[in-house]
Amino acid sequence: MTCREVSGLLSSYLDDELDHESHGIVEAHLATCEHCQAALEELWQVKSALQSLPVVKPPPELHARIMEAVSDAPAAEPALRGVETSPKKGRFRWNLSSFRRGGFKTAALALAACLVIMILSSAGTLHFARRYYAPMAAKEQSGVAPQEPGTTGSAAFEEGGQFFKMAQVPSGDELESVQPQSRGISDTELADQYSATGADTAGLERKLIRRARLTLEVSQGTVDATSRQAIHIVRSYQGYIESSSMSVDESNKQSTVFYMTARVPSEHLDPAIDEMSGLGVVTQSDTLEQDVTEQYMDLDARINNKVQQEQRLLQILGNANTVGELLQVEAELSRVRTEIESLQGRQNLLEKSSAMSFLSVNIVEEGSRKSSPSPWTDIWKAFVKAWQDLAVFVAKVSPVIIVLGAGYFLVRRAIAKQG
Amino acid sequence: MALPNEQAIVERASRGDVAAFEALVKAYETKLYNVAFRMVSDSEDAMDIVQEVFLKAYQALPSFRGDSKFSTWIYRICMNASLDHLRRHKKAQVYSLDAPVEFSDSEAQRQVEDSAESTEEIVEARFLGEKMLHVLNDLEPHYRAVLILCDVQGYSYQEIAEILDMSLGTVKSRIHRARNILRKLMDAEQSFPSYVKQDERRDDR
Ligand SMILES: [Zn+2]
Repeated sequence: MTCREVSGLLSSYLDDELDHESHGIVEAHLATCEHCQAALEELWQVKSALQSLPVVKPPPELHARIMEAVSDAPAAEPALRGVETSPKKGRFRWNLSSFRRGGFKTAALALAACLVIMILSSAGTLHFARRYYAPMAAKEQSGVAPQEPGTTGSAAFEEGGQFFKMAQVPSGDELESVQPQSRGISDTELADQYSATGADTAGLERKLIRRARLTLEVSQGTVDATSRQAIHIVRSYQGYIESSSMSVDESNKQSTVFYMTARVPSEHLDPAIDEMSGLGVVTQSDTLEQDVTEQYMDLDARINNKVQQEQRLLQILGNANTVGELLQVEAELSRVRTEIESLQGRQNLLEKSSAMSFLSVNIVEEGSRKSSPSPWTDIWKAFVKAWQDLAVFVAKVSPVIIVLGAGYFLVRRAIAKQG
Repeated sequence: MALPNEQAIVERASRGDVAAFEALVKAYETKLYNVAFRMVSDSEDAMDIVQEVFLKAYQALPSFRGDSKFSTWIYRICMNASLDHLRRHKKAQVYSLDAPVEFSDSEAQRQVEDSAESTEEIVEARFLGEKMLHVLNDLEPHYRAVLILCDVQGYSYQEIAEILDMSLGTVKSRIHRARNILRKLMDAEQSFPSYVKQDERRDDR
């Protein structure tokens, strides 16, 4: 069987969903093919990561909610559908009605103001957008509509100002504080449940696969030299480089970026990172740890099983009476041995992964870290900003309009009196 | 599986015995909640889905013939509800101008992710499994479904075929493809220069 055919069966093999014959064929191939062994290992890592996802406890109110829905079953359905709401639209409508409440004259004034604004802004919006698209600097949320008492028109716009403020994209802090609740289960909770899953193997020597990441910032033009030092550090700790690349980031001020992945003996990982941290300013450093002790022990147990099976078969082989028996036992023996080899292959891979930690290093030039923000948020920010500015503009301009309107009114009255 | 004499309980529940039905709810609510939660990755939505699933089950139970196992049947309702939810909410929520503040956490993440062209957040991801939580969201829902049933819930290919109403061959190839895609997503996470992602995140928030 070719690698191609085998690789298509590897997931089924992993899930023990192959018939006896195919299972044997795949096993035999795996024993001799490192490529397919590695592919199996990768699939198995995905599977085991999924298997180790913690069981999430449902919120305590779930049970009551279900029983409640069931107990008034016929009536429950419309209630289910009614949950969706559109608060934003409601708010806007309210704005309009408050507009109307202010009486016809003021409304007319406000309308006139609106018209003027719209004419001015239709030309201006694009300009605003363009102006705020690029820098979006510190001017965050500066003056929204300064108070302009007395007129319903400007009050309505103030309302508008707040509306825009509310609709604004939340800042980092706000989003951070919102996240844990909306997720329903916090990261730390997950982490706790996580470590709990491996608790029963406590006390054994732990097999950890560690993956570290480090980002260094160095002064302009020294990326090349620093990268050589970094490679040297890896080698000095008996590590080796898996891959490395030097590239120019065109979207980022033509800055030079170095990236490498290396393997370092696990006991040397921390000192290697320490030493490397001295090469520049550390802007990011973190380590992921995967506990594979259980998987390792599991493989161990399976290998032991098979070895015992092998011993029994050898005994039987010694006592075999007929040629037929002999051949049968030998076939079985070779099957068991193949299985042992493949299990050992997987165990070796785990062993190697935990012995040699993964280390990836980025080296970037100082000042280049400011990557361009995504277009979507920019457009949104520009949109919000433009409207905010519009609100400010309205507030500033409204006295003028009121004066003009009043003047117009007086002139009309004067003319009417004369006539 | 969870209940010793499930068949008898199902029968009683189908005749309108609420106590019997509650026993079924107790046996399955956590499992179904987990399935829904892994599918939609939002606690509130998962609760809504599970509630809807049991309500549907309660109403449809009289017509449940027992051709398949009760567990298969209710898992199927749950998977359909989750997939349906994802279908509906994809259009409604992402990039909605009307409700920018109200998107769920996963949506917020998705926007960040899309813009950064990355597959997930790094900084909080301390464990491979937690990383998996995020990467899982990037998997197309039908692929996610087979893996949740196979690897998270431990169902056999045959049972998955029944739950998702597809052929055994389709289950086989979907699981294999899904794992390979997931593997690539995890690798992409690993090898993508991380400074870019970190900055994107800061700017986006
Ligand atoms: Zn091969």
